[in-house]
Amino acid sequence: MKDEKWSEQELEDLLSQAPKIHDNRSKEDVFARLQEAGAFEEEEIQVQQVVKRKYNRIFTYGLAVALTMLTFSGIYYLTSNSSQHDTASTSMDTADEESLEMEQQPLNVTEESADTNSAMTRNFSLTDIRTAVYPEQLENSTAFSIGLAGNDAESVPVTIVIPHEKLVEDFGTDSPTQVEMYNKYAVLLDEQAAGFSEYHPVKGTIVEQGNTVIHTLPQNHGYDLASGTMATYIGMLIDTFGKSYEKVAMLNEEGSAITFSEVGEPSEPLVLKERKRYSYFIDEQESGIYLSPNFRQPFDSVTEALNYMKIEENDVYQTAILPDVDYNVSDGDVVKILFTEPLDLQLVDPQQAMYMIEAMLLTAAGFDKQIRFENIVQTEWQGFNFIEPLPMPIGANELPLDFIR
Amino acid sequence: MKESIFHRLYDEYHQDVFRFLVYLVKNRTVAEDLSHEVYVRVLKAYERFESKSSEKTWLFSIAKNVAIDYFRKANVRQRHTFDAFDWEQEQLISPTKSPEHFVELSDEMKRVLAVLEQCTGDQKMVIVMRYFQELSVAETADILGWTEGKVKTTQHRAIKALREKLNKLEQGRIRYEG
Repeated sequence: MKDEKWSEQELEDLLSQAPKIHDNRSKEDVFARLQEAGAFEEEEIQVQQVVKRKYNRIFTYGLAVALTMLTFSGIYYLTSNSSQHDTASTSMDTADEESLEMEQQPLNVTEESADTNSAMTRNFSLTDIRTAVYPEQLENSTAFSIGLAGNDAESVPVTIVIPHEKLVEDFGTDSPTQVEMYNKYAVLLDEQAAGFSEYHPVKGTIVEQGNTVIHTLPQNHGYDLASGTMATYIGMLIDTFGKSYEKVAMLNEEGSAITFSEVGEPSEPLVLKERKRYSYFIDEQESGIYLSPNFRQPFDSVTEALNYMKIEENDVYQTAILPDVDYNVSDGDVVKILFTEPLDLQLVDPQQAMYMIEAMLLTAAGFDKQIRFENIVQTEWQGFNFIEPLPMPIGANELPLDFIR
Repeated sequence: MKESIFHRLYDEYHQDVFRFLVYLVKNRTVAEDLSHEVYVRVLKAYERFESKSSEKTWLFSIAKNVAIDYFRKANVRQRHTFDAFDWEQEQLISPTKSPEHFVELSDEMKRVLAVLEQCTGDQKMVIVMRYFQELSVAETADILGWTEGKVKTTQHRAIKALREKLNKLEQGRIRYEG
C-alpha cells in the first residue's frame, strides 16, 4: 500500500511495468471462431450491393456448370427442362462481366450452384436475386424486422431471418417477441458495416404490454430535433414493430405521453396498422439498392398505391417500374396486375425486373393482399410461379444473419 | 489468401492487439470478442490496405475503432447519450467490472486502471498505447490520426491527471483508514 504522494516518475515506472496479459486461447480456437463466422470467405456477404455481385458470380458459375451438364446430356436435357434453359439463358446477360472471376470461386460453390432450380429454399446464397423475405423461408426460422437510418432522413425497412436454433440459444425459446429480439439484437447490429448510420439501440427503454410497444424516452433524446430526425424515428418504429404490434406509446421518464418539440403537444400512440399502406420505390443507399416506402405517403386503396408506383416521384425514391412497361390493376381477393404488353423477363435486366415485381408485392402486402401477374411470357422465373398468385412477402430487404454481430 | 493473412497477423500481432483491448475494456471475454471483430474487419478490408501506414499501426487503428464502437454502444445502454459520443472527451468506462480476471495485476496497478477510467478517452488511449503497448510517439500518432505534438501533449496531461486522481484517492483512503 502506498502512503505517500505519487510522483510522475513513480507513476510512469509503474505504468511501464504493466504485466503482459496474454490471450489464453489457442491460435486454433481463434481461427475456428473466425471460420465459423465465415471470415475467410473471399466474398463476405455484408450488404445488398455485395450480395448482388455474389449472386451474379454464382449465377455465372451455375451457368458454366449447367452448360457443361447440357453438353454431356445432349439435346434431350435441353428440351426436357425448359425452366433450367430459361435460367441459363437469362444469366447470359450477367455472365460476361464477371466471367473472369469464375476461376477464383471456391470449390464449395459447385455444391451451392447445384440448387439453381430450387430457389424457393433461399438461404442467402445461390442464384436468388430476390431481396424480400417470403413465408417459405420461415419454416425453421423467424423474421426480425428493423428500420435502419438511411441517407435521407428516412428509415429503411430491413429483415433478418433468424434460425430457430439461434433463437433457442439466445432466448431459450424459438418464438421470442419482436421487442425481445429488438432488445437483444439491436445492440449487436453492425449498421456502419452495412452502410447505414449508427442508430440502434434507440435511447431509453423498449417494453411491451400486450399489443402495445412502450418506448420510454430520456430527456434530450434528440429524436425531435428536426423534421428529418422525427421522420427517421417514426419510420423506424413502424419498420421495427409495425408487423407485430397494434401501436407504440411514446412516454417520458415520468410515464406520461411525451411531447415532441416538432409536434408541440403530448403525442398520441402511433397506430401501426394505419401505417403500412404505402407504395414501394427504389431507394438507393450508399450500400446498395433497397425497396422502401416513398416517404410513407399513405393510400386508401391498393389500386391507388400500385398505380402510384409508375410515377417518377422525387430525387430520393425512384420508380421500380421498368421503362416502357405499363399495367392495369384490378382489386379483389387477389390483386390482378395485367401488363398491357407481353412482358418477356428474358429481355430485361433480371435484377431490375425483380425490383419491380417485389416492389409491387410489398406494396400489395401492406394491404394484406397477394398479386397475380398476367401477360408475363414466362410461367416460372426466379422461383416465382406466375400461374398462381405470388406469395405475400414477410418483409423487405433481407440482410444476412451476420449483420447481427 | 485470407487464411494466410490471418496466420501471419496472428503470429506477429495477436497478443499485442489482445493486450491493447483487454487493458481498454478490462474484461477478457469482451477482449476476445473484440479481437474477433478486429480480425473480421481486417480480413474484409485487407485488400484496401494501401501501405500508407505500417501494417502494425493499421491493425491497431482498426482495433482502436472496434474498441471505440464498443464503448459507444455501451454508452447508449448506460447513459442514453449515443449520438453525442466523442470518444476523446468522454470517459471510456468499461461496463463490465471483472477484476477477478486480472490476477496478473498488483493492487496498485488495479487502482491505476480504475483511476484511468476517470480520465478522458484520449488520455486513457494514449496511456494504454504509450506505456502498456510500448508504442512510439510516431506510431501512436499514426494510429490515432493525430500529430506527434498532440500525442505528447495528451500524454503529459494524462500523467498529470492520473497522478492527481491517484493522490486524491490515496489521501482519502489514508483519512478513512487513519
